[in-house]
Amino acid sequence: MTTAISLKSVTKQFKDFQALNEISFDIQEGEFFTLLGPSGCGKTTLLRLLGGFEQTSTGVIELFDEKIENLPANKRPINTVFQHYSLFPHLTVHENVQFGLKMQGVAKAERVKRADEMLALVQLEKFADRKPNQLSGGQQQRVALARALAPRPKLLLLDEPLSALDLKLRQSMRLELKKIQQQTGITFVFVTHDQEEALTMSDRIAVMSAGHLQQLGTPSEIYEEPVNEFVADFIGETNLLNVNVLSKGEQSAEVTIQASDTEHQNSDVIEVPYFNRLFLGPTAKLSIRPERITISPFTGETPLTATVEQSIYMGTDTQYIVILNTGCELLIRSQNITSSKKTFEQGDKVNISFDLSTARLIRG
Amino acid sequence: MLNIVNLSKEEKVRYGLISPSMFMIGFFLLIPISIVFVYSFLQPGTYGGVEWVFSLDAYKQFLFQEDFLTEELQFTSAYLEIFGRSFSQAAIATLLCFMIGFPTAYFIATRPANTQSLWLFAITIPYWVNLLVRTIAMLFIIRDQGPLNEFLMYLDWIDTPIKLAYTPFAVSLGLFYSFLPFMVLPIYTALSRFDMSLLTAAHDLYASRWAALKNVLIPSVSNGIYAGCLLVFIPSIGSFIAPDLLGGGKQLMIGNLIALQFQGSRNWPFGAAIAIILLTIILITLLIFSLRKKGEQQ
Repeated sequence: MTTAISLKSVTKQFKDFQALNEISFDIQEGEFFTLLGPSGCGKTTLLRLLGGFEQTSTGVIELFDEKIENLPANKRPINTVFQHYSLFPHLTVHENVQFGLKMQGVAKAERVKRADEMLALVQLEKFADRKPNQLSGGQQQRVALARALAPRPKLLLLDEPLSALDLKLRQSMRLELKKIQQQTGITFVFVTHDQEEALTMSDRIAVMSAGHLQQLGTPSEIYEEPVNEFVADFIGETNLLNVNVLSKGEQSAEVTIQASDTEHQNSDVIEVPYFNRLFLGPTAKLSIRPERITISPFTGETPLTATVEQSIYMGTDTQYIVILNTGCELLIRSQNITSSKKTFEQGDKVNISFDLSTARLIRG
Repeated sequence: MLNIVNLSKEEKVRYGLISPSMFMIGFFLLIPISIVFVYSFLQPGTYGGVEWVFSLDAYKQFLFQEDFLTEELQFTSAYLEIFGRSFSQAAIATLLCFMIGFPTAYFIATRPANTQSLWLFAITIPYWVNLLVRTIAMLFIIRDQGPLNEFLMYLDWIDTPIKLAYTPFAVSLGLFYSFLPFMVLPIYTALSRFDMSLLTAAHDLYASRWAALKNVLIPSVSNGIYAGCLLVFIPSIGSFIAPDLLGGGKQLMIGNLIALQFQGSRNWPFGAAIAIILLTIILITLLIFSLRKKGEQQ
């Protein structure tokens, strides 16, 4: 595999604010790569550095082994799909798609042919002669995509392109974007704050927060093996319980769940897996995904008994908030497999269990 | 006729609001133009004014001249030359206004929102002073012993003063100075509505700064540029203060020619006819432009 883009200790300092701190990673050719993080985490700044709209403070950016960090945007073989599309309102859809090729000096016949191909790719052939303001949001989005793909860039940047669309359209565009990426074979760098978007489309995800790279991995790695509390909490929903670490083995540790107050002491020792690249202190956090917890009618005192605090019916599943006997709150998501499945009401006493292999011990 | 009794309250309010401006336009624009139009088909009175006899002489006089001896009509280009000169000087003034006004408008439109109105205010400050005073002030600045020439000589860039005052260029300069805000304001309005992120998009798509300006910015604000050019060009053609003072009255422009007919020459119908010819040419030009623009948009 070839490295498409390589970031080496990239730092971006604004006047009194460090937007990016020593970011280093490689993106492979043909990869669908996502930069994920909350707003203000630096993901858009990183995208702007790649596009050439901002200059790096320090560090090197290489595109197929060529340094590009000092090239202006119009000299980089990289195109962008902007968040608000930024289509040229005075040009037709076809002229918009031709624009990049025209600026590169491609001959008219070739330009028209390529633009036709791109519009066919995004299924907008019929709208070629319309102006952007005569199109719906979803159609404008496709034009923006076609326009950015037409010059056959070595890297395509997508800045939260789906955020302005409604839910249904967003879901279908996710699949279509992924399909187009596979058809064209162009390396995509996708920026989003929506973890669901990131998980469904990406080959690999870089989770960012406060200008730092938190974790880099495949969607399942990020979801199943979060390296810290931030990643565990940001990707999907999770329960984070404070635990005391008693002993550490090769791949698992023995812990006790900390009580929220002295009344609820519970000294049952449980053994949970962890990933030994992490340093674990005497205290850590146990992350348990809400869908991995089983809730069952109370049958007797077990290590984990709880009282239902709230029960919310959500169609595909029912969400419970329960108070553990240790005093901590726990979120549980129970799938409604059959319509007659027993649900629990507020105040019901229940037993809680979960497969320990799905729980993750992470840095506190 | 409007049936005032049957109008709804909302309609009454609407007509009530529009009536002062309709009255102003009717009374101070349509009636005077009608009078000018009618006068252009009459014969001049001996001491000014008109004789109420229908005649096409005023229009004939524009293109033909009566031979002294034979009383035959001969073609003369004298007045056409004045028209040509007026149009070219107005065009130079419009071009100057655009070249200075566009960057100015761009500068203002890209300032932080709260300082934009201050800049606009600054643009209008010179216009608190009467046009005549400003034009004379300009004459003082550009004349042979004026501060501009003195300064250039002090710098040793020139040995003898550059002849600026009383030249056609001075006239264009004066027109440019008189009408600059009329170029800046409409372009500023168009630019403030322009989405600057489109320039980033153009830059991303391999456009250099110049290419982005030419292919994205200027076409997007063409309506403002068009309005600005009209607002400068039309009053420039008919103006007579700048040509009179800065041109030294040596080279007539249309405005002076018309003024002359009503004052010195006491040929009111001819003055009226020139005004009507000018009005017709401008209206036809506008019509062609707007039809073309409409065609482009479709």
